[in-house]
Amino acid sequence: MIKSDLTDEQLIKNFQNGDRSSYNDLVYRYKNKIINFLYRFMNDMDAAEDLAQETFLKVYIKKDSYREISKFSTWLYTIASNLAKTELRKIKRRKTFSISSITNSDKEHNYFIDEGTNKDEILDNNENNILHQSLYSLEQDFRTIIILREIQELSYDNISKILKLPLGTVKSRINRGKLKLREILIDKGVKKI
Amino acid sequence: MNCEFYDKITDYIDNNLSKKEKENFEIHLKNNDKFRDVVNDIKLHTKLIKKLPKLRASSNFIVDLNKRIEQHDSQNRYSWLNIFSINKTKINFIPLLGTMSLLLIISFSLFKVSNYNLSNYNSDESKFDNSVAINDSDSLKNDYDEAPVLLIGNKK
Repeated sequence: MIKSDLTDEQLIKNFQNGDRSSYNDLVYRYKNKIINFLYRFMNDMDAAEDLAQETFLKVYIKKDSYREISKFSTWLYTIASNLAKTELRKIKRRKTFSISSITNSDKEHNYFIDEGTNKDEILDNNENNILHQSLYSLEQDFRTIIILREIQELSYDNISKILKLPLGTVKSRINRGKLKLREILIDKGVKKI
Repeated sequence: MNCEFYDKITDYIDNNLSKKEKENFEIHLKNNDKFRDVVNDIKLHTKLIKKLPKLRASSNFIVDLNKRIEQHDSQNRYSWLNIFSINKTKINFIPLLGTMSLLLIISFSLFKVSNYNLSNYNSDESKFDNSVAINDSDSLKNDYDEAPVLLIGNKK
């Protein structure tokens, strides 16, 4: 069977049985998705890369703690999300997070645009920045859920498992998050982007 | 704000409402301009969020990750050295001394246990010998008891 045909769960099982190349396949399959999630969450490309590597290192170290009761992606996003939350707490404690660092990382991310993305569909940089910054200024709980749902396109069920929240709470947080995002965009003077 | 309908905006956009719920939602949408504005804005924002550029990992992502893994593996391989806190330049003797003492105590207690077992074995063996001796003396006694009969016989 060609490896690309294997499911994530089959690949992690192979890795648990000692097949290192299955681990590499999982990294290739998920590295960009995890980077996207972490960048939107952290608003810092360096931190996103660093945490993504930390996430995959954890997968490598803790491979045996994965059980097939949940999807591999759920487990992976749980690790990434926990690492990101811990990192944000550390940053808040250090209080070194500055507006200038946001601006710098925004410049950087233009170098990493996925080649597969249709350039015509990409909004102009200014619009992207407004939307990205508005998303980032949302409370962490709302931001996480919106990123997982709308950018990562995960199901409500998966999000509920990743965040260990009831399905109803997930849905209501997505709604409230979007309403808050609208308020932020209006505050920034954007009615229609 | 009518919470009942505001809570259903995302489900409406995702087309996850039942037929009846959808009908009620659309009636409210039709009759309420402000609500319609909110729903349209959220629809648009959701679409735009989905269109945010997809980022990709830097070209050295895998190389850096493999370095981290190698570092972890090598740390793990020599983790037993951590017991002795071996540094590049110096050895911390306190844990080393502690480990040595522990090994000494363990070997001493093992030695004691084996000695105890040996002495137990020896005493058991002597008990066994004694019992044999007793049995032997009994048999001698029997021999002796029978001897006079023979002697008498001989005298005859």
